[in-house]
Amino acid sequence: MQPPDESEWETSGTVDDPAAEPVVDASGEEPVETVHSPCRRCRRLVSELAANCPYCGLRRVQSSPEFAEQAPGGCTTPPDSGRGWSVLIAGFAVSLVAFILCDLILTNSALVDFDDERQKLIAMGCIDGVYAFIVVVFAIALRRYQSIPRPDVAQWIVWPVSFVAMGLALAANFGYHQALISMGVRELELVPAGSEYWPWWIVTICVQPAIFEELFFRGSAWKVMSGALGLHATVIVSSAMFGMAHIGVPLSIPVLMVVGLVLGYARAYSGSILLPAILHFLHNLAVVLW
Amino acid sequence: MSDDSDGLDGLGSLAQSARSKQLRSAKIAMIAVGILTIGANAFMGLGAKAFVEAAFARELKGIPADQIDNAKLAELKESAVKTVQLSAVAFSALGVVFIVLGLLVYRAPVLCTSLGLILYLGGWAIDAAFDPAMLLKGILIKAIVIAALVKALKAAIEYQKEHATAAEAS
Repeated sequence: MQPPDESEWETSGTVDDPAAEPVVDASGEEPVETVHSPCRRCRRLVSELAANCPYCGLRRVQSSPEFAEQAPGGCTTPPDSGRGWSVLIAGFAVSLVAFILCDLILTNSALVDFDDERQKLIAMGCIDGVYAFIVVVFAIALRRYQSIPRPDVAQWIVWPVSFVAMGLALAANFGYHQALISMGVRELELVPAGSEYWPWWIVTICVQPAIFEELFFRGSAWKVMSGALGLHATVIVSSAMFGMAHIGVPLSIPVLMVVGLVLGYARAYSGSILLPAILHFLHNLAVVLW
Repeated sequence: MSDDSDGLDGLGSLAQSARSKQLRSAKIAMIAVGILTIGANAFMGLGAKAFVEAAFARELKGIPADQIDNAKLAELKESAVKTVQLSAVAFSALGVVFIVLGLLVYRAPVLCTSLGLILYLGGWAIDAAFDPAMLLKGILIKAIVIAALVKALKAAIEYQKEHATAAEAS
């Protein structure tokens, strides 16, 4: 079988180009408008109706809603998910470096006296602001990616179970830190006792992470990873990423990964970042208060 | 066309073979990183007391002895030694994780390479948070490891896709 005349393909237009000349189908009957997409191997535009790429012969899987449901995890990820992963890893690396540099600048310069609560709060607020900016930039860069559909479990089951699971994770968190203290590790005081800046501490430690950390780990990162990894592996990788992002408290990373697992499953089964954001806020509030 | 398709199928196999080689590089890199991490942290854990003493001596250099609260100092030193030892144990566990991920890379390519990359970047960041000089120390080797893992991740995504397509086709 001879591949079709290339000139036909060249004049058939690009994907969804209304000005393109329609392709004549094999029977020579009335022209049929077709949608084209790039071949996964040679990247040349190929009709969605073609069983094989006429240029490199790669067998083409038909794009259809039925296929999307049958594909691993039912993913609707765009073909070039490699770019998404590159952007995601770059975002993670940039946020880590930004945190280290901010910490370096603030601790080693004369700008901030960390014994002064107000200055410490401002410094942490600045770090939060830089992190929020990075998260928003990468959320915009990855906006076209879509997550896998959530499993078919009733929300009236998901929400209560998630709250119970978070309660257990919180208990594990407290138990773990008590064990560290009993081993002689010094406890880090997040908020000074009797602080007059309580509302600002709540915003810095509870509200900002609940919004921006969830937007990154269970929002943008989730969308990129879920298509390639499926549900459970995405939860594991996102929780590892979440834990590792807390480089300021490295001994807490293992238990934070457990918290990340709870948040990840909450995201998976609820289908949005609202539930994990609420859980994250409540978790951080409990840690601050106790 | 059948001759062409044989050649073209061969091209597909060549591509998979190239990706498989990149996964093998990632496997070697992750196992090597794991072994080095365990070794370095075992050394750090065993010598924790000496390292802490040296660090405190550097910080207290030039401060008159009568201005130092020795009881508080002893408490801080003990806490620091415990922290260093616990960190060494935690990082050694991370080293074990790297080795396991390296061994399992062909079973779950995307999962293992992505986890390996995230844990490596995170480990580097934690080192740098404690000692900013670590951001640039050994940067060439770190860049090579990261490049190998990034390439392996991209190869793993394509490898997994081709496997899924081949499985559906058969």
